[in-house]
Amino acid sequence: MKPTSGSVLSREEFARRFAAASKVLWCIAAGQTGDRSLVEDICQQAAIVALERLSDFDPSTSFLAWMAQIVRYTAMNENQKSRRRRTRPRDPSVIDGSRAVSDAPERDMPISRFGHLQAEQNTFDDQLLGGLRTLDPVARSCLLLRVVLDSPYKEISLVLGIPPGTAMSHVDRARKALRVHLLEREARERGSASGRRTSIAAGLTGEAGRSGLERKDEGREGIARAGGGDHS
Amino acid sequence: VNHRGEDISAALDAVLDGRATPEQERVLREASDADESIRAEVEAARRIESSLKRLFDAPTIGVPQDALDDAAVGAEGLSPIPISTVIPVSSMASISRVSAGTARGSRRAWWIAGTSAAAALAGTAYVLLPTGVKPSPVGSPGPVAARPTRTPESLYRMLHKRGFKPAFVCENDEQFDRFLTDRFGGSFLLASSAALEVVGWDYADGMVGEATAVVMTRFEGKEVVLLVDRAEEDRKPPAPCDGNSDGSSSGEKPETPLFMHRAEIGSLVVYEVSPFDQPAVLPKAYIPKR
Repeated sequence: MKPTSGSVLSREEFARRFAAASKVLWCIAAGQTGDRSLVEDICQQAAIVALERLSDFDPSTSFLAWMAQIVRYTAMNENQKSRRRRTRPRDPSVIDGSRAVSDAPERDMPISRFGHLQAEQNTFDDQLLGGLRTLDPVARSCLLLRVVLDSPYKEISLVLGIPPGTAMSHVDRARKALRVHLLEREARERGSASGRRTSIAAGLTGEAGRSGLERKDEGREGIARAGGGDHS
Repeated sequence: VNHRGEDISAALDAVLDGRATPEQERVLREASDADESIRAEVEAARRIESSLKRLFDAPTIGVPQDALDDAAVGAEGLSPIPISTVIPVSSMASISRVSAGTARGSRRAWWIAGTSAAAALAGTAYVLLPTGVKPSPVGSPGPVAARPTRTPESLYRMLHKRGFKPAFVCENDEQFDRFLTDRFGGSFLLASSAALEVVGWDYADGMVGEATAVVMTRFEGKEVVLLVDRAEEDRKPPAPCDGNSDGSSSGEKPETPLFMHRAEIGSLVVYEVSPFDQPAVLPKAYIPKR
């Protein structure tokens, strides 16, 4: 669709707006693919596509929404290609899931109140990334935008093309799904380590895999599913 | 208990999201103090938030400068090129599968790569020098009146078997433009794309018209051949064809079907032959502004 305003964004202005929007676009790409190693390439491919279609963009409309759509489509194409290949290009450093963690500045590593690095943080991160990959791409995008960038729901709604209430619902459910995923794993590991099945918390024997809140939340369904549904 | 559980769950959601009321904060605090499993879950929730922020610390990304440069060259001339529906060339093609991968870099970089490849063909290659394009005039490169026995499919296979090495290369858009203009009286360029590599040129006289030129490209690492000629001379090359007409692959097991797409670009007709069932390179074509 050609712009109706008759004006076209200059390349310089495009570059400026792209850089300003890049953190949001990065999170969208990460959310769509669930794979950090692909994100920068996807964003740059999307920039090239956008440059080729610059004449289609109406500067009076939202650049972020337009660019986010291109990033989503680019990421979806990449997902399809990855599925066809059945393998993914991997930098050796990415194969080791903990490498990214060890690359992170030490000051950002979680530390205990005694100043020590929390035990098994790398394992926790790997499990967290595994949990993220089980989420729906839209839910994952909502979660990353909200948690990483603290994006307002109005903006998440704009860039993902969903109602704000749905975005909020995705975030809550995704958080819950991740908690359940991680606590389940923890419970399983404790169970296998001790040779008996125990719960995630003391006194909950036989209910491993269910979080404390979930047990108290019998009336609600689909807690572990980061699917659709609006906040009402 | 259920009601209380919902309250606590909602309180945790609200606290994590920064929208908790003082009452919700109190509910969660008391529940956490009273129940170890809830305390563990709250702790896990906070750890998840912290890890997500650290693991997905989004960087600021700029537009690749070469993409901006290339857009500056071609942006004015970009116009949609109508492309005809897919014509399957053959489902019997015997093309070895090209390893998939994302071609990266600017068109300029690929021109340079193409020059190096062509330089290796000393003695057989016809390399265009930066000082000037030396195109073959229409009809001059050899007998062209006869209908060729080669088909788009067999041409593609032959080029592939030869290592996809071009007969000559252009070093920049200006040479590309001048070659087409001199040979056919019309021209087009290919917009830059990270996935597109322009490898070089070859000839296929008589395949489409009298003096068909071949643009050899790779898209996402896969070989894509463009057949270019005057639109008014379009004979519509045969498809499909004898998969063994040039004897290059007798007895090999077919692996990749080929597809052909047609577009008219100004006064030129261009056929794209590739393993893609959708046009890959043709959408990148645009008529340069004079």
